[in-house]
Amino acid sequence: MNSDKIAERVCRVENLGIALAGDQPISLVEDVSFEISRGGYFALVGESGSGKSITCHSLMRLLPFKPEFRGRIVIDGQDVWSLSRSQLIQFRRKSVGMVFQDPLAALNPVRTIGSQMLETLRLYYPSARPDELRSRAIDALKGVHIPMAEQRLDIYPHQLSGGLNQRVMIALAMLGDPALLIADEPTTALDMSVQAEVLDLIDEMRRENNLTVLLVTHDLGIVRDRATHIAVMHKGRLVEQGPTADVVSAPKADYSRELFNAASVEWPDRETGKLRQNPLALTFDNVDKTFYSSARDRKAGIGVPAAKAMSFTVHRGEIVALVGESGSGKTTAAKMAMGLVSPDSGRITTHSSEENGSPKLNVQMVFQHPRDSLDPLMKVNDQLNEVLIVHGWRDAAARKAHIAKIIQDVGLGAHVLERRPTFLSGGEAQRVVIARALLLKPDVLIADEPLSAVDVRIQKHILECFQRLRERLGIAILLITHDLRVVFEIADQVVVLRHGEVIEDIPVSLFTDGKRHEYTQMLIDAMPGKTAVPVRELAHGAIATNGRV
Amino acid sequence: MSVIASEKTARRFPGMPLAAQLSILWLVLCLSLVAIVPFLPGVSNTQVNLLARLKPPVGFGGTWAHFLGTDDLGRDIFLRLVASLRTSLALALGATVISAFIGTTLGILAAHFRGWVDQLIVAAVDAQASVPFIIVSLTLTAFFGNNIYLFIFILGMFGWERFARLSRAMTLASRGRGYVLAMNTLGFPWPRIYLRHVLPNIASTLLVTATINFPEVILLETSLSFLGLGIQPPMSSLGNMLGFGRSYLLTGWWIAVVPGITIFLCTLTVSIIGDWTRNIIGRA
Amino acid sequence: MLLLTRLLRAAVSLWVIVTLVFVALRATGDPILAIFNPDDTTQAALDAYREQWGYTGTILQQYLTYVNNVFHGAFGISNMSNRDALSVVLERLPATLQLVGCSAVVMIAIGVPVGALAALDNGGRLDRTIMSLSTVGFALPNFVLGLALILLLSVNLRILPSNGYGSLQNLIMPVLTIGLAKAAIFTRFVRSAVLDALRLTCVTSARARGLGEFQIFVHHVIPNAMLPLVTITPLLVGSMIAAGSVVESVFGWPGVGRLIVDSVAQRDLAVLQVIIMMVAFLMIATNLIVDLAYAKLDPRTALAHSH
Repeated sequence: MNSDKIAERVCRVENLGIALAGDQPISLVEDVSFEISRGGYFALVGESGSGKSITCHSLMRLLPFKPEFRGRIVIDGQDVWSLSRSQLIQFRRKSVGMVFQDPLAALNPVRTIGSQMLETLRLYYPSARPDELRSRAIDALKGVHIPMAEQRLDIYPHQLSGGLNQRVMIALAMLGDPALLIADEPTTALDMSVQAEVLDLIDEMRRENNLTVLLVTHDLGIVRDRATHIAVMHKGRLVEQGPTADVVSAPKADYSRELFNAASVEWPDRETGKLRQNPLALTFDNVDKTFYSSARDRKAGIGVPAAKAMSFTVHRGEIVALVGESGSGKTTAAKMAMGLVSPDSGRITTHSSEENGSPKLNVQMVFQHPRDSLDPLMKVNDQLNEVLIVHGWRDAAARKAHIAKIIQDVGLGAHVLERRPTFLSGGEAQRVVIARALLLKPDVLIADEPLSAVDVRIQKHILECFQRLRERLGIAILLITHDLRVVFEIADQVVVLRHGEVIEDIPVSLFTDGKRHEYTQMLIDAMPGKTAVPVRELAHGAIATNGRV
Repeated sequence: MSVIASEKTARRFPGMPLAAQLSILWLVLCLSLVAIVPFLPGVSNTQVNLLARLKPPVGFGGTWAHFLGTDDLGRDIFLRLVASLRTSLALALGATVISAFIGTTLGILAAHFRGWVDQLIVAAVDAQASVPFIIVSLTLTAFFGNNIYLFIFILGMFGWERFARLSRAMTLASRGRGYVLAMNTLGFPWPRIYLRHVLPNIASTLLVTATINFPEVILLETSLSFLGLGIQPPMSSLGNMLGFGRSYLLTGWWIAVVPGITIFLCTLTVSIIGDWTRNIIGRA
Repeated sequence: MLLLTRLLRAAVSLWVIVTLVFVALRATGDPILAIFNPDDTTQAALDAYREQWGYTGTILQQYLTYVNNVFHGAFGISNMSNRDALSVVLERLPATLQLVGCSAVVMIAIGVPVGALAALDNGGRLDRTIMSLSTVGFALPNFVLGLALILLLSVNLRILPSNGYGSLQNLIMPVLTIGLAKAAIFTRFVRSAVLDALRLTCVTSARARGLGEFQIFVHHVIPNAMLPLVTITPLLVGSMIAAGSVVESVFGWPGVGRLIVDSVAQRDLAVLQVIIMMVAFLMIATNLIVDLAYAKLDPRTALAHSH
C-alpha cells in the first residue's frame, strides 16, 4: 500500500465494474482500467451514456444509488471501496476534490458563498476563530482570481455568473490540498467565452500545486489542447487509452477513430459567390425588436435588444448560417421569419416562387429537439398525411405518392412511416421533422440548432440531407447555430450576430482570412481544437462536423 | 413537478400488486351490487318492519335474513347500504366528470390565450384553491337553501381547479415542446391541435387526477350528508346513514359502522388504483 | 416594496369578500324576513329594523352602510341566540383555536420525523410501510375515524368521554382525529420535500467535500426542504378549518366549526357572515405571512438585491 503512495501513481483503477442492482442487474460500467500518474492531466472522453460520469463519481463513492461493485480503485494509496465510513470522509477531505458540471446547482442556493466556504474550512481548522476562517476564505477566493473577494463572501450563488461560481467550486475543492482533482464536465454549462478561463484556472492549479487532474468531457477540443492522456469510453467500456498525441493522431479503435475524425476542423475554402445571384428567398430589412420584462420597463426603455437594424438576405438554393452565442438574437430572428413574433420596425419579406400559394406557409421550421416536435402518440405516416389533409389534399393516392417522394428526398427508408416517434432514432426523427416541413413545398427552411441534440455520427447524415435538399429542390436554408464547425461544413454565407446586431455578413470562405471583426475572431479562437493537425493531412473521408461528441 | 406528457412506450404490465388487485375486486363488487340488487324482485330498502328493529348483523347475534342487521325502523341495512352506495357513487362519478370537463377546458383556454384570460383563470384557480371547499359548500347551502340540484352543482364545482391547473401546465408544456408550435406553423387550426393532439397526450395524467378527485368527492358528499346538509331523506347516502347511526352507537353500532367501513373502503380502493395507475404511467 | 404590494393585495381580497357576502345576502331575499317572522312583527317594527341595520335607501347606500358596519364589527343579531353575532362567534373561538393548535402540533410532531425517515429510506421497507399507512390514513374520513374512536374508547372501553369540553380527556380524541388524518398527508409532503432536497447537486457536492451526513442534513437538506413545505402551509390551514367543522360536530365540541354547521342548518345569516369573513381573513393573512416568509427563506426571490 505504501509503495503506491510514494510511487508515481496517484490513481489506479483496476477492472472497475458497476451495475444497477436488481433482479436483472443493468451493467453501467464494465472492466474499466486506467492509471493516472502524479501531475498528469487525464481526460475521460465519451458520449452521454458512455459511463464516464458514473466512473468518476465512483472514484469518490458518490454514486446516487447502491451499486453492484467490482474491481478496485486505489487513490492516493487508499483502496476507496474498502474504506470505512469515517475513513471515507477523511479521504474525501484530504485526497480528492471534485468539481461539478453545473456550478449553480452544486452550491446551496439558500446559503451565502461565505457560509459554505467557512463550513468547509472548519473541517480543516476546527479550532480557528471565525475571523481567521474568514480571511482564509478570502485568500482562497483570491487564489482563484475572484475580484472583490471580501464582498463576494456575503452574497448568494445565484447572484454570481456561472464562470465565477465555477471558480468558487474549484476553490472549495482545492481547500483540502487534494492530490487529485476530478472535474466532471466543468465547462459544459458555461458560455464558450468563459470556458477557456475556467480551464486555464485548472491548468494553473495544476502547475502551482502539483495537482493531478481527471477531466471528464465530451468536448474533444478541450482534450486535444490540454490533456496529457486520453481514455475513450463507449457504452460502459474503455475503448482506447494512451498519451493524447498518440491517440488523437492515430486512433486504433474504430469508435475512437470515428470520434476524432468527426471532431476535426476543416477550414472552408469553397466558392459560394454564385449562389448570391439567385433570386431572393428571404429578406430582413432594418428589423428592430426589443423585449421588455414589464410594462414599467417598457416605459423606461429598459429592455433586451433582440434585433437592432438587422438586415441580411437569403437566396434560393443557399445555406445561410446565423451564428451567435446565447442572447445574440438568432432565435428571435427565426421566430420573426416564421411570423410568430412581429418586429417593432423594419420589414421581413418572404419571396414565394410560383409553386407556393400562401406566404405564411412558405417558411417552415425544423427544431432542436426532433422528438418533441412530433406528436408522440401518432404514427409518422398519419402525422404526415394529416398535414396534407388539413390543406385540402383529398386524394389518398396523391398524398401517398407525395409523402413517398419527400421521404426519399430526405434519405429515409419507407419503414419509418409505420413507426411512432418514440421508436425512431434521433437522426430518423430529425429527418421526419424535415420531411414534414417540406410537405407544403416551402421556399425557405429554417433550422434552429438542428444538430445539438443528435449524436455526432448522425449529424453527418443530417448535414448531407440539407445538402441534398438544396441541390434537388433549390430550397433556401437558414441555419441557426452557435457551432462554427457546422458553419464551416455546409454554410455558404455567414451572418454573425451579437446582441441583435449583425457583426458580419460574409461568404464562408472569407471567414478565416484574418481580417474579421474582433468578435468574430474571438469566436474562431474560442473554438476548441483549432490548434489540431489540419485534417487535410489525414486519411481521406475525414469530415468536419460538430466537435461535440 | 415535471409535467412531461407521457410517452407511450411498449406497455408492459408488471404483475399488478396485490393491493391493486383487491381494490379492483372491491370496486367491481360494489358496481355489481349497485347494478343488480335494486332490480331484484321483492326487495325494498325502505320497507319498514317494526318487528325487526335494531337487529344485529350475522356473527354478532343476528340472522342471515338481515345479514348486516337492521336499523331503528327495521329496514335492512344491506339493502339500505346498496341504495346509499348507488347515490354516493353516482354523485361522485358525475361530479368528477363535470369538474374534469370544466377544469380541463378552462385550463386549455388559459394556456392557449395567455394574457388577461390566463390571468383571470389563474386567479379563479387560486381563489378556489385557497378556500377550504367545505366552507364554501356550507356557505352556499346556507344562502340558497338545501336542495338536490344545488348539491349536485356544489359537488361538480369541487376540484375543477386541480384539473385546470394541471391541464394548463401540461398544455403550456406541450406548447413549449414544439409539436404544438410545429403544427401551428404547418397551418393546423387550433381546435384540431388541441383536441386531436394535446388532449390525448395529457389524458392519462388527467385520469390520475380524476382518481384523486373521486374519493375526495365521496368524502365531501358523505361529510355534508353526515352533517345533515347534503342528501336529505328519503334519499339515502352513505353519509346520512352514518349521521343517523350516530345516535345509536350504543344500541345499534352497525348502523354507523357498516356505511363507515364502506366509505373507507371505497376511498381507499380508488386511491390505491390511482397510485398504481400513476406508477404505470411512469410518473414518480 | 414587496411588503406594500402584498398588503395591498390582501386588502383588496378582503374587500372583494366583503362585497361578495353583501351581494349574496341581498340575492337570497330580504334578510330581515329571514330573521323576523313577518307574522309576529308589525310592519312598523320591521321598517324600524330595516332603518337601523341599513337596509333602506339605494343599493349603494346600503352597501356603504354595510361596509361601515363590518368595519365596526356590527354584523347583526344572531337569530339562534338573540345576541350580537360577532360576540357569539368570538366566544367560540378559543375552543377551536385550542383544537386546531393541538392538532397542528400532533401533525407536525408525527409528520416531520416520519416523513424524513421515509425519505431517507427511499424505496426500502420502512418507506413502503409508511406510504401505505399514509394512504390508509388519507382515505379514512375524519368523521368515521372520530366515531370509531368514540366507539372504541368511550362506548367499549369507557376510558374517555364522548363529548364535552374543558379537560384534557375531552381534548384527546378530537385532537387525535384531526391530527392523525392530517399527519398522514403531511408525511407525504415532508417525504417528497426531503427526497427532492436529497437529490440536489449541492448535497452531492457537500458530500464530495467530506462533510458529515448529519451536517449535510441540517445545513443543506433541511433548508432546501423547508421551501416547498412553507408553501403548502395555507393549504393545511384551510384543510384544518374544514376538518374542524366536521369533527367538532362529531364530538360536540363548542367551537366555531360546530357553529358553522348549526348556523347553516338554522340559516343564521348574521353569524355566518362573521364566520365567512373570519375564515377569509385567516386565509388571506396566512397567505400573506407565507409569502413573506418564503421570500425571506429563499434568497432567489425578488426580495434579494442585485450584486
